[in-house]
Amino acid sequence: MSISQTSAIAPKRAKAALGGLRKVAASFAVILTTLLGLLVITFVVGRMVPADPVIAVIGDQADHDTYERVYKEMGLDQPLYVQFATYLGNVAQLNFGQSHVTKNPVASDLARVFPATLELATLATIIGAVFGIPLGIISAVRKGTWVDHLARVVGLLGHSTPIFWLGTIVILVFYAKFSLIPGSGRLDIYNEGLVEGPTNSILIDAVLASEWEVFWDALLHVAAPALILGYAAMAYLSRMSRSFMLEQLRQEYVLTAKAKGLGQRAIVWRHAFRNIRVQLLTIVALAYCGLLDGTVLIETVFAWPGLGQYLTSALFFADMNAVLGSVLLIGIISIAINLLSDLTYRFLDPRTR
Amino acid sequence: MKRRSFLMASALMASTFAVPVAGQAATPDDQLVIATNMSSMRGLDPNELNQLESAEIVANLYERLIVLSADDMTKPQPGIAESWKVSDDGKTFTFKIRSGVTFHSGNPLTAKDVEWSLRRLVKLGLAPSVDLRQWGFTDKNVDELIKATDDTTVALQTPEVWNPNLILFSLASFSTSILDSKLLAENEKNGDMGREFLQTNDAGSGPYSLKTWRVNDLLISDAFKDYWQGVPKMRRVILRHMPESSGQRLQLEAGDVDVATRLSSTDLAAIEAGGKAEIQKTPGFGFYYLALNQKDEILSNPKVREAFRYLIDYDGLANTVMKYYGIKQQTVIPGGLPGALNETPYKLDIDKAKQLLAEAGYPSGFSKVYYATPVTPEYEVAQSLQANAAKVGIKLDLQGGDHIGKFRNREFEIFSARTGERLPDPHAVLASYATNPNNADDAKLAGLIAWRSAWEVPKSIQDMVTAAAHETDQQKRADLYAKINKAYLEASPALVTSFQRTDAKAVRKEVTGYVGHSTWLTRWDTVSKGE
Amino acid sequence: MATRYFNDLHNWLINEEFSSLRQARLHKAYVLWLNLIANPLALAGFLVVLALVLIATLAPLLANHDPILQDLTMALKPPSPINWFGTDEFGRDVYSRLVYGARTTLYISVLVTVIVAPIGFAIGATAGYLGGWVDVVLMRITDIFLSFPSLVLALAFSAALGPGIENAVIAIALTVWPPIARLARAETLTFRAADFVVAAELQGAGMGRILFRHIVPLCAPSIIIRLTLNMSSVILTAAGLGFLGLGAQPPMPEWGAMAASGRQYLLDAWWLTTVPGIAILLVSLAFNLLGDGLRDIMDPRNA
Repeated sequence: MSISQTSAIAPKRAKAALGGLRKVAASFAVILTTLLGLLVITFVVGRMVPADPVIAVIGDQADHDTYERVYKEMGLDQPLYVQFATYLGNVAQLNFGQSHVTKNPVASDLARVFPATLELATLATIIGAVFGIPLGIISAVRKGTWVDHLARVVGLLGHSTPIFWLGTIVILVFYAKFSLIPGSGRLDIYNEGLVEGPTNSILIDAVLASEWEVFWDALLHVAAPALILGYAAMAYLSRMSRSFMLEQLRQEYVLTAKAKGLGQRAIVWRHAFRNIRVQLLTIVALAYCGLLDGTVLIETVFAWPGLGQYLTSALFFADMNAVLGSVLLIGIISIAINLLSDLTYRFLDPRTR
Repeated sequence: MKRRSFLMASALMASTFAVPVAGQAATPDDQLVIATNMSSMRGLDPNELNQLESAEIVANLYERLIVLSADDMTKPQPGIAESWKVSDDGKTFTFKIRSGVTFHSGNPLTAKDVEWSLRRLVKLGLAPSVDLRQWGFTDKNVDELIKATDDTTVALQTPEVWNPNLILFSLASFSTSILDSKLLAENEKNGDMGREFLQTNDAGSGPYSLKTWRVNDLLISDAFKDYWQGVPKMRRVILRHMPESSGQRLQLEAGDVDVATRLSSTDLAAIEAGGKAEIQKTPGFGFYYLALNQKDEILSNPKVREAFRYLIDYDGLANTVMKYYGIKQQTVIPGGLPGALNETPYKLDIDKAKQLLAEAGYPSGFSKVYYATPVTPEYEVAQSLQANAAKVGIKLDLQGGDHIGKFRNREFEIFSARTGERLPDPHAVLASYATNPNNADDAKLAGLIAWRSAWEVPKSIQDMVTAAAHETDQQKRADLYAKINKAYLEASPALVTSFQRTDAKAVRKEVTGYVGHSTWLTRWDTVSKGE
Repeated sequence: MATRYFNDLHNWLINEEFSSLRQARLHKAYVLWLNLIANPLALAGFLVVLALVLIATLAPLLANHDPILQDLTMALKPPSPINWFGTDEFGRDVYSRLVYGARTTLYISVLVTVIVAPIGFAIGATAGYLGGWVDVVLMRITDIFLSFPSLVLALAFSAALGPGIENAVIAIALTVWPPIARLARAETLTFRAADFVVAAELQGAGMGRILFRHIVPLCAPSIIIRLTLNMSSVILTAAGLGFLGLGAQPPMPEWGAMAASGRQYLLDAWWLTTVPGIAILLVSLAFNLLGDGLRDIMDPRNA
């Protein structure tokens, strides 16, 4: 490559790079303002919770002096904006403060409870995708047949069922009446403490430690809540993939391919599916976010020691730092997943590149 | 390809459900599994917590000078203190410390540890410090008043003369546990006296040592091999967080847990009928009460206060919701303590309440906001009162939630909850229910529920409570308490008691020696299993 | 004679040569109705929603017991000819509470809609119409709210506001408006440059007038569909809040709270949790079917 050639191209490239840089900077600004907004909202919410955080710490019967001392210790005597500034400063250093309930740093609490939720939500998403996407595609291909109607009813049911109620009924029927699934929690008690792994996800840790009995036990425990959540995800994913596929099947190339005598299976899986996989990826990511919602209720029902349970109990006990930390974590994850799916979208979809 | 993964996933799911669960076997013979609700636990620092579930754990990780056995709460017995003497003026207690006791760290337990631990409780000044502060100890005088005179002797002086039992009982409370001062000194951070270390570790000499603790999930403790009274039979005690009553019951019946501690009335009844476990009702030193704010014009009318006592369905509740949670009691000395009264003259009587309201000048009732905590059985009791009050025209706007902060600040109209004291003596309950030395708003005696209700307790009652605490003659004291109790019953109090609290636990039949303790000190080292 | 009248009416309604604006509107509604009854699933949804409204209005006539009257001697009785769905822990009749609970559910859904539709529209349409930094700021705020999972946000807000049905409504409304705003913005953008809008601007119409007279009627169908589809998630969120003790307060009957308090007695009184759960499921399913059907009719691409 000669020098003249490069010099001719260079300004163009530089310009493109600058544009890219600006784009990156812009999206950074977007993320930062969103994060700041998240912080403001969570802080305001945390301060509005009517339960008294001091009493949550010292108990009902403590006298006034104790109350005053702890009140100051927790920094509650400072003006609100000072408290917020302090909080911002701490968060910038990834210090979410100490939980008044668990007495641990919130960051380490989150590191402990979040993998449990992640494990549950990931499995549920996988179940939802594995069942939901094929179902949606089949019902699009067989539009108007009984398969389509059935899929629609199944999907809408999944959309309409109160998750906490379904969980309760599943426990009643499958655990209480027929003993087909184990009780609440992540493991049976005699398997507790056998695996203390690096990831805090029992399934992965058990595999790493080759503790197959623990793995099996953990799988049995996660099955019911994951299936219930997975059903909700499936409902969403099947409906979305149906409409994506329908749109593809209306496209001209499908008609052309048909005219050329290409088999339907080949058209659907080889061509149409390829074209919608990016969209599918996006909705799977969205479903994943949505599941963070579902876990709040399902964790309460199954006594699953995850983020949802941590958050609800923190709310109940006015554990502000814990509430702020968990809500922030959930917000950040949502932003991150959205951003990620956005990026893959841009990367994989030739039209947006 | 898609189709295959679809099939594989269905196969995997089918097998998940088809395989019967092996978890139905009983718990191992040398392990005790307790199902509990950990959500209100606040750490495991004996000088910081103030809560039943944590107290039971701390009771077994640590030891105290005095032991109160579950079957005779009123007799102090030797613990870490081998023996003790009370001076003739009643103000100096001399404790002889047992030798040969070691902490889990291997450090020997000495009089210095005792001195350090008791001072730490007072100096930290957190919730449980009231156990010593109420007798006049402060962070200023405690160094003077509590001293180790040599390696095996501790002298404790009280600023005033109190009935000696009050002091000895206090030294049996979980808050006066003896901590490993050397270990904590090594782990001190910024002069926190080891507070941070104790959030996740123990520094005790008790029969069990802490192995794993995951908040709101699981706690595992192992038997202490060098325990001076011999290694406990249960090699391991496991506590599991199970907030759902039905979950606890199912696992108890399946044999997955040995003890269930948070069960609803219907589940307790079903377990009792099932015959696999026994129900223990441990009476506690506290009451289910209704507080009527005396700053409110209507509620401060004695006839209105009296009317509320006829609106509680004592018998209906006692047979249903409260069956396992309480014993009918309409005045303020818990059953089993000196001065307790066994009669319950009040019962649900809508007409009588109506008549009292008419006499008070409110024949068609009134509306009030009613705060209660939405937990079993408190909320059921509140809803029952709400329904009965409606029959006489009193409209109660029941608001569930955590309103204790408002109650403490006197910002309420009607409030109900339950109390639990840890002193096996009438004084603790009476101090809170029946003394209010200064009823002014800015007195901020927020530790006393009589002050919170803005109730000017009749002076005669208050004087008797004070006199009884200082009285050293046990018989005279008992007579005094009987008089106080009677006077309270007749005072149309602003704090209406309905039930003495009991804490119900279900214990599987093969477990022996797990005995509920009225001041939250249930022991694990006495537990054994067998047919 | 009646048949003839209906035939005439049908012909008048179906006729596309409108003689008045009123006829045109009625025609539109009538065609919608014909489409709706041709779609059995959507019709079923419509009927259940209708039933919900009827039950809620006629609750005092339909209930055979006082929904808040306690009788501890009758606690936890199984379904029987007297108590069709059994009794709860206070001896209250579950069937009557269910019937009155329909009012609570309807109250929450209607109130949320009434709050959310105008707010969502106003924010979205303003952003879309004005563009520029107003658009950026408004959409940024919308995105911040969108970045929370809705139940978590509703949970946090209703915990902050304190328990109670009005607070639950506010909390839910706070989570429902952002998608509506986004939709309204997108719709406004498509009409922003349309001739009739420009014409109206040239005639000197203000923003409020243009949004109201021109944009609202155009956006309304898609916003209504969206709201109908959202209704099921509103009901589920409300039930979830009630389940966590943050919604309606006793003695007001609310299905989520009923299911939650029944969980205490699950093993001995299955009806306490099962019955209100099925009610929630039915109503939420009905709204979904109806919304789905409406979308099929109004937006044929998806059918």
